[in-house]
Amino acid sequence: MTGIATTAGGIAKDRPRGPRPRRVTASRVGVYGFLIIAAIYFLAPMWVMIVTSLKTMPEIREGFLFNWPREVSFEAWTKAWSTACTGRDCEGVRPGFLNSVKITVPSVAISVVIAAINGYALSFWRFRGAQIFFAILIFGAFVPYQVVIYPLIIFLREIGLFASLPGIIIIHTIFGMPILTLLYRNYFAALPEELFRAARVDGAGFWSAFFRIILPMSVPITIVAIILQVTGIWNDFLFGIVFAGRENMPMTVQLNNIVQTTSGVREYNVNMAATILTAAVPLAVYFISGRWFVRGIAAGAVKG
Amino acid sequence: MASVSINSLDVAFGTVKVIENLNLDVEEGEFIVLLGPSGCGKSTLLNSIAGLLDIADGEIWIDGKNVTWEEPKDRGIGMVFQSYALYPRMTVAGNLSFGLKMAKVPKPEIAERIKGASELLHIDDLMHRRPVELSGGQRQRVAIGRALVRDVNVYLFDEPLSNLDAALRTELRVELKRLHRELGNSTMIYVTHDQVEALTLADRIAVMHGGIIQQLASPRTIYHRPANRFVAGFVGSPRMNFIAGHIETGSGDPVFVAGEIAHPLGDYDFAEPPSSGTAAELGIRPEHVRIDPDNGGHTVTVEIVEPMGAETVVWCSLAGHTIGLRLDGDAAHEPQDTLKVGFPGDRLNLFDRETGSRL
Ligand SMILES: Nc1ncnc2c1ncn2[C@@H]1O[C@H](COP(=O)(O)OP(=O)(O)O)[C@@H](O)[C@H]1O
Ligand SMILES: [Mg+2]
Repeated sequence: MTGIATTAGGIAKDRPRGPRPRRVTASRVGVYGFLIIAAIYFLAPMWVMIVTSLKTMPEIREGFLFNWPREVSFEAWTKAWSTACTGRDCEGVRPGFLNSVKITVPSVAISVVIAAINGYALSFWRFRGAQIFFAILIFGAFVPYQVVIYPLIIFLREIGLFASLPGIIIIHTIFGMPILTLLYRNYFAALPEELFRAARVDGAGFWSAFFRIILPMSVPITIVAIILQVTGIWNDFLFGIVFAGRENMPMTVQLNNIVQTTSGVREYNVNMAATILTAAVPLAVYFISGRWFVRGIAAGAVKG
Repeated sequence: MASVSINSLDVAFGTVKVIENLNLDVEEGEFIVLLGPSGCGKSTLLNSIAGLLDIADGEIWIDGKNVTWEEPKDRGIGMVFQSYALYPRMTVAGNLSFGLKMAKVPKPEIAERIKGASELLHIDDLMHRRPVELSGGQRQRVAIGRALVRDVNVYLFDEPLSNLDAALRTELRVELKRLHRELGNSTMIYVTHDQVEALTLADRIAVMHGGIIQQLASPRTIYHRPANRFVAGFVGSPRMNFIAGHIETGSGDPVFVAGEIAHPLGDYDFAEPPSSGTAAELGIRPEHVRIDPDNGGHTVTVEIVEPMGAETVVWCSLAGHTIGLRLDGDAAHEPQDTLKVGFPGDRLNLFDRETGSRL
């Protein structure tokens, strides 16, 4: 404890020199106190979920919500993954996981690619009507989903894609478009316009300027876009249940079905394990890419 | 045949006309500088020549071809930007070769042209670096190189030195001049707000203000016979001294009168004989004011002395006007001294106060 010397006497003798000694002030204590309480508030449910999922049903019935299990058991996890029942099917959340992957990967890829091109065209090729197009797109971001669901059902049914994998992918692509386009457009707007002009003088057209110059500079914002879309689409429940069809139900819907199945006793440990499994992908994305996420968000202010 | 011709060009952003009915002819091999304050439309004009902006009206000819509707790449121009605008994810070699690859130039020729340009600009050691790994001066050299490899006849520069520090600016300025000579017959159109760059580099300067070319002439003429009040005030540092008054003609020579000041204009070279009572402004550069104890002239009181090493600038008051004098570095004057000064007639400038144009 010699690093941060705060004994008043020791400092008062010397003339002020070098770094100013740090003091423990009331506001600092307050800040740390608040942060710790906030962390506990958010971590406590997580803790309960983990310990519950590792307990056996008899132990859960004893209460003691926060206790570490007497005997750690992974039975609930295997059951949640592969044998838990939703109505007649007893396959756990595994099919849902695979469905979610099949929905998320193409939806993210397609929506990010289209949004990047949209943002590029909007910021660098100010075509006629670009302002209006952008305004409509932004307006789209504020339309409540419920309003458009029914028309979209009709639309997808008419083109024969209702309750199918391509159908749900189209839906996610459409709904991701406003926010992703806005994201890209603002990022590109911060890039120096002269760079694009230099590319034009060098003979780069729409696509070559995009692929050779602009896209290589868009890595940070693309990471942000991917994170937003992966978590958003993975966590989606409403579109999945409406548009995906029975065979393509995403993991969130399947989780709900497992938790809601009311035959027999409620297996809290299985429910908890299934929930953690479902949340694992977005959680992993945040843990792995948190640093990139912050950097990408901040990169809007950085040139070049 | 002119290398670049601009005929009655109009450029507007929305409803705001930034350039209106502008005409400019640039000779082959000429180094022309567009000089003007920030926001006067220099970049707009340059971008119009490059084809990077939609113009509202007019024609642009380059090398005898009407390029008004051509794409930038087809106009036979190379361009250097103020912010360098190097492609950040490419190496120096990648930056230099990008345009050539786009134009599908064969590989051996690309290598040859890059070699030529990089040797000319002393950047051959930097070929594998990224732009972030270069200093400002090196970046600008690469940007110039990127224009050079295009092997065109017309080069456009938009304030290429204004992001550099003073020493580098001077160094690259000299190099640009050398480059222009070495390239032989290249036409250069160079935008700047820095009058020193304009005066040192240009064969001819086009002084711009409010989207209009105020004067197009050699640096010498621009400096010594400015066509109007704006050019006179914009070029020169410290700037020209101005005294507002009017002209009186009588039996003898015309006389410039401003309050107590009366200055005979017998040896001034009027464009046309002045009429009496014309509201006029008299201008004289600080270095042209003579200290002249014997020959009458005007009596001024020293207010501030600024020694600048090679020269001393002395600010005096003359009947309520502030007059700057540019004297030798070792001139010794103190505030409150009185001096007798003369304004040599062949160094005077007279401007009509209504139209601003030279009388
Ligand atoms: N994209 C634009 N939209 C609207 N106005 C512009 C745009 N670009 C330039 N202007 C205006 O045109 C005028 C000339 O600009 P510019 O040519 O960049 O001046 P300079 O290069 O001489 O500093 C300025 O008043 C500027 O505000
Ligand atoms: Mg400019």
